[in-house]
Amino acid sequence: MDKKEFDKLAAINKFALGEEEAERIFARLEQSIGALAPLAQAELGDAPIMVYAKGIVPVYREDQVSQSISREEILAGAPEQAEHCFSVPRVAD
Amino acid sequence: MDKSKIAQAMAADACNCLVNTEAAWLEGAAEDATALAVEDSIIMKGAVCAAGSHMLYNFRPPYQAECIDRAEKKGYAVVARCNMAEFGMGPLSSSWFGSCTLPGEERLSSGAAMAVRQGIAEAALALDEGGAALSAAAMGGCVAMRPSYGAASRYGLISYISSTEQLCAVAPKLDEAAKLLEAICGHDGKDGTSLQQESWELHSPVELSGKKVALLIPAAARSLWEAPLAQAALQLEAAGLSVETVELPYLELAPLALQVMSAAEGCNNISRFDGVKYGYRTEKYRDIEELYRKSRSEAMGETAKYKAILGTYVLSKGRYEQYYYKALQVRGLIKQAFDQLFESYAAVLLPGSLGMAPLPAEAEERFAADLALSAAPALAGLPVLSLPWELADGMGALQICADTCRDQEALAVAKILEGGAN
Repeated sequence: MDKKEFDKLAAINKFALGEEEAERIFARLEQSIGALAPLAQAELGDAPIMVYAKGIVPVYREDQVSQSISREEILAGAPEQAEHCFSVPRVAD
Repeated sequence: MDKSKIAQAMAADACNCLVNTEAAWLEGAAEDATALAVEDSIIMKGAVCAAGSHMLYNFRPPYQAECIDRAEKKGYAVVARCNMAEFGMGPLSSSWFGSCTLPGEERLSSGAAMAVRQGIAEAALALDEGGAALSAAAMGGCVAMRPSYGAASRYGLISYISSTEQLCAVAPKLDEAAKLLEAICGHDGKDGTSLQQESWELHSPVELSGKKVALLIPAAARSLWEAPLAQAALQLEAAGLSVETVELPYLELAPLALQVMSAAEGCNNISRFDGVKYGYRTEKYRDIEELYRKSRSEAMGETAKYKAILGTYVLSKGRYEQYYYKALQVRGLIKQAFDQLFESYAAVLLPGSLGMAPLPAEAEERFAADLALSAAPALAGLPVLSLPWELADGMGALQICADTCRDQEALAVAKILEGGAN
């Protein structure tokens, strides 16, 4: 990872990092990515992947209408709200 | 529960183990209830649930974790919330609330373990991702048990590594930890990764006589753990089991695979924290982009940022196959290797820590070193127990794991060892 890619990935994650903080995180990442080399270089052929522990099958609930969380309860935790909605700066002209 | 004793223990907390705890919970608890502490990542309706992060410093969820509902139905009452690493990421020193330590020491511990050790709760629930919560409990003088992946509902948890994390019970003794897990485990339709098994009888009788236990000692732990594990082997042999040293293929790749998965899943899980719907929002912003950037940058700690950027890196075009896909392959190979092992062995004994509880200055290094020991069972979704075990330099963590859904075998082996070297 070079500095340009680091800046791009930080921006994707919506981080605006200070200079010193960016340097520390960049150094940690360089070290981590270096330590991951044995994994990146491992010859694993066509070994199957395992996304979840064995035995897990996706569970789907019955398609039934039930009581959900009310709009008021959800908005109670919002940093700002207006007209029964989350309030954010204007996103379109 | 003895409310006055618990109130005294809370007031005297010398570990910074409590966060977001309201006095009314203890006051309102039934006298005959069992006092329970829960980690700050376990959601309680109406309570502040911050997962150790400034990002969620004022988050009061409108719903509750399934594990709390189930525990309450079985006579537990939540009296405290516990300190933890920010979102469970990295060493215990990353909490926005400051580090939790052993009583009167600088050495780091977990909020759940110290709540139990100080008598604030009779048992605690914590979220274990890769073994850190288990080993912290044992190094802090408690026991911990993490059931098979999917045994306990993850509904209502503030997730970090969704594919490995599982609730674990922390208690003074194994029977108490197992009792708590029996109360909360069982199929939950609200969790898509929940196993279909309705109830878990962890105390059901297990015939161990004549069975074999495998001893797995990663190279990095050999000098420190050879003698303590030999002592454990003697105890098991005295109980009629035979013990053999084994090796596990791909073991050295397990912590790397877990590192990749934790970053990949972690960056997705914390991407939802944006300052719009709940939690921290920066004071001044000109547009929506600045609102996101400033809110996340001001409120998230350095470890969370590092993990998020690493996660985006390993999932990016050209890196996905190199890192993430291979990590999933390693998980499959590790699981296969354990499956083969459990054809011949009832349980596996392995070190859970490279020494006693770490000092703040060594927290990062030790976190990575301990992960190298505990990553493999976590990747495979195995049930794991963690016991305090005396090492040359102090109290370490000994792990016992068994095959998936054979949690009672791991418990039965651990009970032979309980109290053996601590």
